[in-house]
Amino acid sequence: MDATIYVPDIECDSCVKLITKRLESQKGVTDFEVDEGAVIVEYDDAAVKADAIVGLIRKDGFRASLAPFDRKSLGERWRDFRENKSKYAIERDGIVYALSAFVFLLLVEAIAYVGFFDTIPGFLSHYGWWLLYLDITVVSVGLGLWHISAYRARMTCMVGMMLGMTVGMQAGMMLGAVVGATNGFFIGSMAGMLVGVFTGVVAGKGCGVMGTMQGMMAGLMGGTMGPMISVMMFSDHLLWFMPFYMAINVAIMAGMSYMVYEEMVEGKEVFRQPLDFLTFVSACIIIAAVFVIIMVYGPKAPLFAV
Amino acid sequence: MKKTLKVKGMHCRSCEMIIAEALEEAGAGSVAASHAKGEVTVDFGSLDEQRVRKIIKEEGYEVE
Repeated sequence: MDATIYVPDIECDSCVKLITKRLESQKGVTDFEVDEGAVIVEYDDAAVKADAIVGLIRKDGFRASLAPFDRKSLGERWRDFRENKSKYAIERDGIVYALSAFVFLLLVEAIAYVGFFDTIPGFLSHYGWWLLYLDITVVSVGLGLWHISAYRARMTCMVGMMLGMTVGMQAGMMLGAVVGATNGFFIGSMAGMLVGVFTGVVAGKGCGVMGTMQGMMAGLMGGTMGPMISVMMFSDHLLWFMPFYMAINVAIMAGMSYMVYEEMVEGKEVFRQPLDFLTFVSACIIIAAVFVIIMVYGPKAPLFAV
Repeated sequence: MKKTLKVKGMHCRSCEMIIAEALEEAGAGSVAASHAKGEVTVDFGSLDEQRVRKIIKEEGYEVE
C-alpha cells in the first residue's frame, strides 16, 4: 500500500532529516520519499496503518494529514509573517510605505494650512476631520492597489471579481463619504463614483471582463452610497459615526491584502515588481491634493457652503 | 557537568530535536537546544565536551 501524507510544515533539510529518521525506524514502512509539503510512504498494511504513520509525524510537532492542507489559519499566517521576514518583504515594505505616506500627507497639509488655508475662516472646524479621513482613504486604497500591482500573478475569475469589487466599493464608499460631507451629494457622488469605477476597473481587470464589470458596478454603488451616508446623516451624529465607518473600511482593505497574498501569491509562481517608495508617496500626495482642492474650492450644495 | 554551547546553523524546531536526540542517544543527560538563541545546553552525562562538540558537528552544525 502507499499513501501521501501532507506535511505543510516541512521547512528545511533538518525537518526532512528528522522525518526520515522517524520513518526509517518505523516497522512496516518499506519505502518513502520526503518532499516539500508531503511524504509519500509505501507500507505493509498488516504491520502498520496509515493513521499510525500520520501520528508518528505529528508527534514531532508537524501538522500531518492524509488530506491536503489548502491554507493557513490566521494565527499560522501571523506567525509566519513574524518569522519569515523575507517571504513577506513586499508586505512589510507596503506597511512602512503607507504609514510614511500618511505622515507625509499630514505634514504637507499642516504646511498648506499654516501658509495658506488659515485665512479661510472656520477652516479647521469645517474641514479638519474630513482632511484626516481623506488621508486615510488615499493611503488605504492606495496601499491596496500598490499591493495588487506589486505582483504579476495569474488570478482566477473569483479573485479578480473580489479585487474589483473590494477596491471599487471601498474607494467609492470612503472618498464619496468624505467629499459628500464637505461638498454635498452631487460632487460627492461624482467623485466617489468616478474614482470608485476607475480604481475598481484597475483592480479587477487582471481577470478580464468579469473583474472589470464587477469593479465598475461596485464603484458605482460604493461611490453613490458613501455620499448618501454623509448627506443623510449630516445632522445626526455624522462625526461620531465616521470613526467606526472608516475603521471598518480600513479593515476591509486590510482583509483584501490578506486575500491577495493567500489567493494570488502563496504557493504560486509570481513575478514581483513593486512600485518604489517615492512613486507611491508622491502619487498619494498628488491625489490627495486634487481632492483637497475640490473639497475647499469645488462647487458645493447650498447647505454645505462655508 | 552542564555547559551552554553556541551553535550556529539551527533554524527550526527540527534542528533542535536532531541535536538533542543525537546527544541523548550518545549518552548525554538532559539537552536543551534553542534555535532562537543559537544555544545548546547539555548535561554531559557520560560524555566529555570534546565528544559533545564532535557529535553536534557531525549533524552538520557549527560549534563556537
